[in-house]
Amino acid sequence: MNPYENLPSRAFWRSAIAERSAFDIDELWQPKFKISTKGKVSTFGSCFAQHIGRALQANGYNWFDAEPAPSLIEPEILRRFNYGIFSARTGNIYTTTLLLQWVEWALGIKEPPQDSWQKDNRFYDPFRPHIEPNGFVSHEEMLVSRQATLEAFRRTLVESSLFVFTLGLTECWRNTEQNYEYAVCPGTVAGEFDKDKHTFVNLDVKSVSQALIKSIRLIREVNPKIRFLLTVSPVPLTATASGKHVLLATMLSKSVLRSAANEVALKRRYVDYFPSFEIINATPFKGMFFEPNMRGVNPAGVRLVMEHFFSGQKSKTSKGSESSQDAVCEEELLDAFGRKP
Amino acid sequence: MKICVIGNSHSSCVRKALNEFKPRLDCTLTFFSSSGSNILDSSFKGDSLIPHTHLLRESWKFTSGGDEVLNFRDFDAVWIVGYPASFNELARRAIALTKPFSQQFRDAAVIESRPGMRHIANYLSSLDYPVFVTARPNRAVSPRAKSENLGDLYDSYSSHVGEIFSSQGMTFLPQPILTLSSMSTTKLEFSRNGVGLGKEIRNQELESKKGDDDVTHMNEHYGLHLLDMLQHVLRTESSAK
Repeated sequence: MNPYENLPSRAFWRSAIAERSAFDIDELWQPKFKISTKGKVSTFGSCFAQHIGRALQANGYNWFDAEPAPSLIEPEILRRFNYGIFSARTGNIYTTTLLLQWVEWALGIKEPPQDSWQKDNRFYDPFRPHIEPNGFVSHEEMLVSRQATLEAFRRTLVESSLFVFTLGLTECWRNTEQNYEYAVCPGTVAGEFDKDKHTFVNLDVKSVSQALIKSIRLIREVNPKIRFLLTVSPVPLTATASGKHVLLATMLSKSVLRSAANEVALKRRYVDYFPSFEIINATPFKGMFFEPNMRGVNPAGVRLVMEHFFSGQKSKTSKGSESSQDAVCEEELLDAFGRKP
Repeated sequence: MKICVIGNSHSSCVRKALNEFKPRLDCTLTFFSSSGSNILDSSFKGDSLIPHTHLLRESWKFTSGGDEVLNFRDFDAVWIVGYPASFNELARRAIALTKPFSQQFRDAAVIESRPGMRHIANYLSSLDYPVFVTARPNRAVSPRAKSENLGDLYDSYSSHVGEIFSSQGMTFLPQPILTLSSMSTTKLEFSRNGVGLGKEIRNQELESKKGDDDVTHMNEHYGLHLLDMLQHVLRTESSAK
C-alpha cells in the first residue's frame, strides 16, 4: 500500500492526459463550494475576467452590474465606454496591490488622490486610464465619474455572494511620493513619466498574497458571508520593464501569481481557485487557444475554460462524479507504483 | 444649394413629398437611399462614400438617378434622414445621461444611436460644410397606448439633442411639432399609406408597405413637414450670414 495506490485516475498523467484528447480532459476543477445562481457574482481583475462575467450572465448566474448604463444604449457603445465589462467601471485591476488600493478607497479606509493625467486637453484617470475612449472633458468630470465607480465598487463588496478576481500581473508602477499604485505606467496612455517619483515594482509571491489576503479580510469585514474565486489570467505580458526577456518575465509573473493564488486559497474554505491559466497554457493544449500573436486567447479557448467552469459546478451538485476509468500503469514511475495491473 | 440626402426607408416620404407636392425649395436634393442598415456595407475613401454590395450600389443608382458612388464634392451640404433613433429616444438619452455619465458617453449615445449613424457620424463631423440630421419618426400608435406626454418638453428636448449634434458640427432637425400628438407619438394621419423602400433591388421604388398598419413609416404629408423644416433652417442660416 502506498499513497498513490488508490488515487483517482485524474491524479495520473497517463490516464488523465496522455490517453485523452485535449478536449476530453476533465475534472480539472473540484469546486470547494457551489455557486448559487441567485446570489450576486462580481467579477474584476485582468482582462480575462470579463469573459467569466459574460459567461456567467449567459448561463443564468446573477452577474452583478453595479454601475449600469441606461438599458436603451447600444451594446457596442456600452462596450466602448467600459460599461458591463466588469461589475463596476474600474477598468482592469491587474495586480492584487491595485485591488487592495481600490478596496481601501471604496471602504473609506484611505482617500483616493485627486490627480489626473492630461493629454490634448483631455483628462485621464490614472487608475483607469482607458475607461473613456478619449479621456474626460474636465478634471471635475473625471472625479465625478471615479466617485460613481467607487460607490458601485463598494456595493459589489458589500452585496456580492461571490467575488471573482483574475490575477493578471506582478509588474506595476508606483508613485513613491504619495505611495499609491497606477493602473499603467505614467506617460504611456497619458500623463508624463517622472523617474524621480515613478518607480517600477515587480511583486513577489509574498507581496501578491499579502495584498490579496488583506483585501479579502477587509471585504469580509463588511460582508462576512462573501466567498472568493481566484483565477490567473492566461494572457502573457504585453511588455516588461524588468530588463528580462518578455517570455521569461511572463513565466515568472504567472508563476508568482499562481503560487500566491494557491497559497491564499489553500488555507481558506471560502476562497477557491479556478484553473483558467492552466487550461489555456498547459502543454496538452499545445498553445491552440492563442491567437496568431500568441498572446490573445481565442474564442475556442474561452469557451473551453468556461465549459470546465460550468461542468465543475455541475459536478458539485451531482454525486458520484469521480471518473471510474481504470488506468493501466506501465510507463511512469509513479504510475507503476500507483496501480497494480 | 445642392444637398445630398443619405437616408434609409424613412427618406422615402421626403421623396414622395417632392414628387407629389413639388414644393419650391432653395436647394436641390439628390437621394442616396437604401433600406435598413445597408449603408454599413460602404466605406469612405477621400471625398467619396463607396458602396461594397450590389444591393447598395443599385439602390443608390436607382434613388439618385444614376450615381453609384456618393461624391461629396458634388454637393454643398448633406442631409441625413432616418439613421438616428427616433426623436423621443434621442431626447430620452440626452436627458438621462447627465452626471455621473460623461459628456463624451452621452454624445456617443445620442449621435451614434443606431449602427447606420455610427458608421457615418465621425466622417460627417469632419466635413467642413453643413450637415443636417433628421431622426426616424416617433412611432404612430393608437393614442390609447402608453406614452409620455411631450407637451411643453418639446423645446427642451429639441434643444438638448440639438446641442449634442451641434457639438459635432451637425444641425439636428427635430421631428416637426405639428406631426406629434399630445402623447408624443406621430399623429396617425401621417402613417396612412406610409412609404418605405423595398428590400429587393427590383422593389427599390417607393412603396406603401403595410398601409394603415405601418406605424413606422410615414407618408408624403409627413415628408412635406420635413422639407418645410429644412427650408426654414436653410433660410435662417442664410439670413444669419
